[in-house]
Amino acid sequence: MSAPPLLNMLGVSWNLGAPVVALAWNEKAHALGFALGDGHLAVVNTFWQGAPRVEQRPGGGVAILEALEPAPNPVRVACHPGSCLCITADGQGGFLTGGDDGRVVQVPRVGTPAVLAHLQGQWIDALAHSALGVNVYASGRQAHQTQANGGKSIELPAPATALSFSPDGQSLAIAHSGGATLWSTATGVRHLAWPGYHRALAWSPDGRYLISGMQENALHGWRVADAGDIEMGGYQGQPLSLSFSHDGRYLATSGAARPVCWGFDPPGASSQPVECGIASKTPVTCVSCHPRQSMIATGYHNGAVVLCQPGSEEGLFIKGSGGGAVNALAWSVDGSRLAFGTQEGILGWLTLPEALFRSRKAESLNQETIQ
Amino acid sequence: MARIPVTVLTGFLGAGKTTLLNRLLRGANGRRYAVIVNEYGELGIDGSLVIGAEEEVYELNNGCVCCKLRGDLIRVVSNLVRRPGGFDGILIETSGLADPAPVVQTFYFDDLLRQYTYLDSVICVADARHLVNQLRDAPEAEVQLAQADLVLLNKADLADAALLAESENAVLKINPTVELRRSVQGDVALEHLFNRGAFDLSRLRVAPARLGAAPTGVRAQAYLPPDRGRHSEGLVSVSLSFDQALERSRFMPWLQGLVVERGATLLRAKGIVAFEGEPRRFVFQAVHMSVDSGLDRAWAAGEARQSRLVFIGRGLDAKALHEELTHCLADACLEVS
Repeated sequence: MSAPPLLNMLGVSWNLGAPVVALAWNEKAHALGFALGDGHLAVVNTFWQGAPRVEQRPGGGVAILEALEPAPNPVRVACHPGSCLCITADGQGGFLTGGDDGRVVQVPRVGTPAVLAHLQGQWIDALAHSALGVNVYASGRQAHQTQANGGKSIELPAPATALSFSPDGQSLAIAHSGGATLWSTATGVRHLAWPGYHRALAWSPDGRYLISGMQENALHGWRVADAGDIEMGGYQGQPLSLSFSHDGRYLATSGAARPVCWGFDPPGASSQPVECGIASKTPVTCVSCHPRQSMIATGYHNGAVVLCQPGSEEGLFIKGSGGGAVNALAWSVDGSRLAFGTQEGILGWLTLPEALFRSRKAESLNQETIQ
Repeated sequence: MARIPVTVLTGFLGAGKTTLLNRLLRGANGRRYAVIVNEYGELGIDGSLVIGAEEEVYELNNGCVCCKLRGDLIRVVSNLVRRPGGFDGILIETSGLADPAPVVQTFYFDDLLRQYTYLDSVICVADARHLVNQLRDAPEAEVQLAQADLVLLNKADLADAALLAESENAVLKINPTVELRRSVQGDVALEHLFNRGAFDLSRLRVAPARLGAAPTGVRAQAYLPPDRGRHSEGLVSVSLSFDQALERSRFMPWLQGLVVERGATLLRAKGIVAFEGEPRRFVFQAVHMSVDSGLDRAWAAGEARQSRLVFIGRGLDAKALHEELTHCLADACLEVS
């Protein structure tokens, strides 16, 4: 018998009955927002009195102490009459959601929601919040700053599919058919062209590379400084979930039966990516790299969530299968918590304190030295 | 979770697509549909959702000019599958001049759409009075007929018997496997429009090639009109049937080669094939370069193990296709020329 999934011991989950579209942690991981397909935002307070704890045993290993009290329940906020399409933290403890009613709604940590923008008859396709506190949203062929952030807009060559700020917050990357557009308040608008349909974006932690996930079962990368191209292909499916490791040494993606890792130390040093973790009969839907350790949280189409490490075929079950495909998966900024949401409306989070991985970390460090 | 069936409605401007759509929604009887239209028309809806989308046709960057998809559909349908309760069906109306192939290919190419939806049918609405003229003047019309599995000859009450017959022959000439129905103001029973399974390999229907029925219908080995379909710039359909089994190891590379080399001009292909030594039927269908194929049920006892194949495309050479397939026959004598 294998151990029960960690979620059962260290976390909590609910069934809210509507598919989870996306999720976001607020800056200090005090709250979690789940954008739902029924137009609601479910806000979960992660301050859990009497939460389960992990204690180091004197002789080595860890003991898990059960929760003393139940976790706070999610609070639903009606944001859009139809469906939520996107969510981001607002940088002030709350969240922004975009919907198919053309509205951008700000749900503060305390107080009543406010409509920040309303584009009648359009969809808010994507949202992003920068490290400098700027909020932008995209609708069709336009990207806009919110009024409070200057209210500037730009026209795009094709409708936007994804938005992503560079780590320093200086440049916004916008994915679309035919490439990506970089929008910087300092240097203006720049197009990075590459034929095909670009649908997902990830910046390397140092901001030197921008990677897009393409409809053509491939990735495309640009060296931002000189727009040098990096081609990465050979996927069985569409790699639409991309996540860089904390140190930028590899990029993990979905698009196969296991997480696919591309070395970026430097990029192109090895032409073939390496798969890791557990192969499922159903594809990987989400990947999220731990913000401090070499560890990838992986969500599968069958609902399972597994922790794995590049270079290892092992996996640690966070959540067993069931509840529909994992649609969203993200670590809190400090890496102490992981949250997920599924197609059938199961959402939850758990604490994964560093003590739990101390022994594993030592192993992986040894491996890295050998390599 | 059950996948949502998708019905594509094509047809020329004024053929009666919107009337048909309204009829479908009025007869919904509590069923919930999502309707994706090119522009908001006069749609009366209760309980269903209507979404206007600008048709964004993109070429895939895979070195093939025929691999196109609709970016707007990926965005809209990806969102529809995230709505609680789901839908009983998704109806997609294309604009009057649009080639339906990118719509069909979108549902082939996209992982998420394949996981949560399936293509049920492509229905083409045609004006019985004007179809013959439209086919002469606008190549878009025949492309729509070629992709359809059901053609509604609408406004049939306004056309005389001779014109109706001429229209029907024109449709069958382009697409010999299509189902034809006459209608007046879109008055077709809903059971004929939904759950058609036109892209379901296990329900694939390929009628036997009729002797001399359509001008280009070629009954292999029995009847081969000389030089028909050769060097034609227009759309040609070629129907072939073989009573001898085919050799799998020769047929599969041939089919692969056909769609790769001639995918741009091959609009549609489908077939039921008997392989030597294989108790099950091999079925395939293709839209340009996208092929869906597999082994289906076993040939029934007493069922004639006849292979039937239909190809619709521009400039198809019936004789050459027949010859190439003859080389795939299990007992073919491969001569060194």
